[in-house]
Amino acid sequence: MSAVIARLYAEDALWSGVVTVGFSLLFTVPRRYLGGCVIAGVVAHVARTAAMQRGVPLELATLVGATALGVLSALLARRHAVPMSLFSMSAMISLVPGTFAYRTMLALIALVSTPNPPVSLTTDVLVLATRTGLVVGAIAVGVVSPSLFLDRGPA
Amino acid sequence: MSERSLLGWIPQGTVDPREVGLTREELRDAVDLVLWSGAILLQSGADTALIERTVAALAKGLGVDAIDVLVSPNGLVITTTEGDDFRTKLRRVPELGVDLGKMAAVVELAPRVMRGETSRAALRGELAAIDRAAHYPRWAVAGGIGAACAGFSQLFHGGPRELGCTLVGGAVVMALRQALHKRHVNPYLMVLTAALTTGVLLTALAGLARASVTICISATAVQLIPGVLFVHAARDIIKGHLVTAVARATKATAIVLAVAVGLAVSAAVARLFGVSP
Repeated sequence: MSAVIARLYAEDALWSGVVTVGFSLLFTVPRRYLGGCVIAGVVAHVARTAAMQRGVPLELATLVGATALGVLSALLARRHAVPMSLFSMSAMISLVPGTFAYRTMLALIALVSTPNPPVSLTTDVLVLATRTGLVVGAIAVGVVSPSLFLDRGPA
Repeated sequence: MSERSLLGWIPQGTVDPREVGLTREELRDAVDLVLWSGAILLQSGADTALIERTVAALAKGLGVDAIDVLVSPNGLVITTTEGDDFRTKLRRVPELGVDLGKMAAVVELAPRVMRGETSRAALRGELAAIDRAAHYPRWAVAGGIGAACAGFSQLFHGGPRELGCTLVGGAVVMALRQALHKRHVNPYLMVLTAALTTGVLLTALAGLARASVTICISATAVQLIPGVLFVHAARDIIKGHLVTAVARATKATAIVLAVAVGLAVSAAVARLFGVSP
């Protein structure tokens, strides 16, 4: 692994961990479970980044990251006999496609406020909205589906 | 729902309700307690399957023969049966939020009640303690969300300028949400106000710091996205709880629309001052 890639993963882990801790405080995750949340959040985001580094598209890479998060959360939940949501909710936030969603909204505003909008603008809105929707769907499916197979606890 | 699916995770050596035998008063007390537990779970953002399972486990631990639970977006209905006697009770839950600490605390009670280690009186005391349990300090949550927004700015390939803007902006917007929540402002109006503030504040901060407006706003606005609602809606759909799923998905969509309107208005205001997001 080159130094550049290693640094990319290290930064990815650091910032996704910070995001997870922040949202864990908002969602009132008890202190004793914060470590599990951070591990789940870091694994999810690094898995997505690793998949994208191998040329996997964002939507599919998000499904990979969210599935890793779902599996890890289900295992942690089973070990501690607590709901899976305790680990998955704050950990999944780092996967949210914020920039895509914001760019979709800006493109939509431009579309409705431009007289006779060009076809390229309509295409931009469609592509951005579709990709945002697919990423959000991938997060939901990836986080939820492992619980169907691994759910033996109060998840 | 079968007893196996409701109670499959409960440890061995637990109470057999047929051996307990409850009087009418005891049954009324037990129903009140399990309904209260379910209401805390619903209020804390638990999905329907978890509420059903925990309520059924608690009821069994308290000696109730059979229980049916109906979870709706605004409340719970429970019918319990003890021999030939049955009792139905409804509890309304007006405000839904996310409090994973309370959710975990109620779920952790269930195995102890099932093993007969917690009496009804003790359970009442524990539920009261859970209900009034303190959150993290407001300053810690605001600071944590500021740091989370700063983290997002780096995940979105921002630099130190974006990090500084989102750290301050994220904390300020979170503090505003806390202040509005304390005053019981309508949740959609609260989100709209927070989104508008996000757009205006972050455009100004990014302009002053010569940072990317798009990264600053998108990293800060992520805190307004109702991710928990979307995921629980998906979980409810997959597990067949369509009513709560539709209600959660509708609420989440309305919140997203409120965010979009707030950011759109702020973008229009920014254009009036010659700033293009």
